Amino acid sequence: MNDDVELTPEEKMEFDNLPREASPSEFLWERIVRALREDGTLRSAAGATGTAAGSPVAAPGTPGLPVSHWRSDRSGRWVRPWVVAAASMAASLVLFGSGVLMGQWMGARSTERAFLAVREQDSAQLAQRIQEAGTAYVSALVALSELRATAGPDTGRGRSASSAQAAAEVQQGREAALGALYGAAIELTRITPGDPDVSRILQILKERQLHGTWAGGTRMTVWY
Amino acid sequence: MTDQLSDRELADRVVSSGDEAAFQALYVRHTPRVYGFLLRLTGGNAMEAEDLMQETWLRAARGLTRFQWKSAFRTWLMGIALNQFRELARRRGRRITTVEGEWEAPGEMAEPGCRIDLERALRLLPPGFRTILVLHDAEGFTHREIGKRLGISDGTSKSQLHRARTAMRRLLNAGLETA
Repeated sequence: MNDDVELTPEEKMEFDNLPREASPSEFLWERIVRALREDGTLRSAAGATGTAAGSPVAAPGTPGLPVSHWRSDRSGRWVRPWVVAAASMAASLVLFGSGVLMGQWMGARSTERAFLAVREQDSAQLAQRIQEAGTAYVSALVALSELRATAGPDTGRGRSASSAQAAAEVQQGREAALGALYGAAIELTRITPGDPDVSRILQILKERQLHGTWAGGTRMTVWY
Repeated sequence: MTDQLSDRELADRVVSSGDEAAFQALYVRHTPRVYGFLLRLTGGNAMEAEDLMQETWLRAARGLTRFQWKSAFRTWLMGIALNQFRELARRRGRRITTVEGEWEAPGEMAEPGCRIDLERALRLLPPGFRTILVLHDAEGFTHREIGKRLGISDGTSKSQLHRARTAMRRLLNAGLETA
């Protein structure tokens, strides 16, 4: 029973000629590498040297320079106690001042870095949310097209009511999908105002909305 | 330079030192083929195929130390990809191993007098039929391999293939019949 539907030579050739390779989007590599860097599976050569070279930590010895300078510059002649006290106080003030300045500088740098890290994380999370929403959007459309396919034409054998209901649901889904596409196109033109492809998509969708060919009938979608 | 290295040498570099260039060479070498496979399994859903491809590479990279090299690296990768596809189908409640009941070819899919191409027919078939056709007829898996990979018996695989081919023919010739 199972071998009586063998492929014909033409069908076999069609299967053999199917393209075997396809290219994913350029963002896939970035997503994968970022995840593997985060869990330590990968170590970026550029990242490693970059971290060392670009580290904002001051060179060793810099903060201690005034102390060593004062000591090495001392002459061999006798110095009065008040001079020593004044010099010590001045040295302390210089040390204190430079410490405060250094602290402020370090604090500002770390705040800036923390701020940048938060922003970077936010953008990554947003990108991931868009990706997830996009996947859900396309999957829902696939399910909708399958529903449309399985609903099929009205055969007139008691299926008319369910077919009509399915058709209405498909139309509602289609309207919602176009609306989401329209909203996404508007936001995309805000992000990349000069992109001609996005502008063209938006223009087409605007025209469809303007000419009332949006969903081919009464508006059925309730937007949340 | 990494382009000249074997899969095993590249994988060893990734495992021993987290070498990103070595991983990139593996990625460039194998992604188009595995992604093409996933794209076909998902019926042309590029976003879903990319998510699966991402998960496949993450699992492969993290599990490289456990890979025994008893099969080709790509075969192992395809196996991971197929597992990810199964897992996704399970989460979404899709049946990829069987199609229950009689399946009717969708109407209005082909212009009268025209034959739709195989790629389109595969996209239009229910996931259960598409999966078996892609694995057996496009990728050359045996029924035993399919049974093992999908957790079904060889007999189920054979009977599904029989039904899937019948459905595929109906779709391919739908336009010719209505001419």
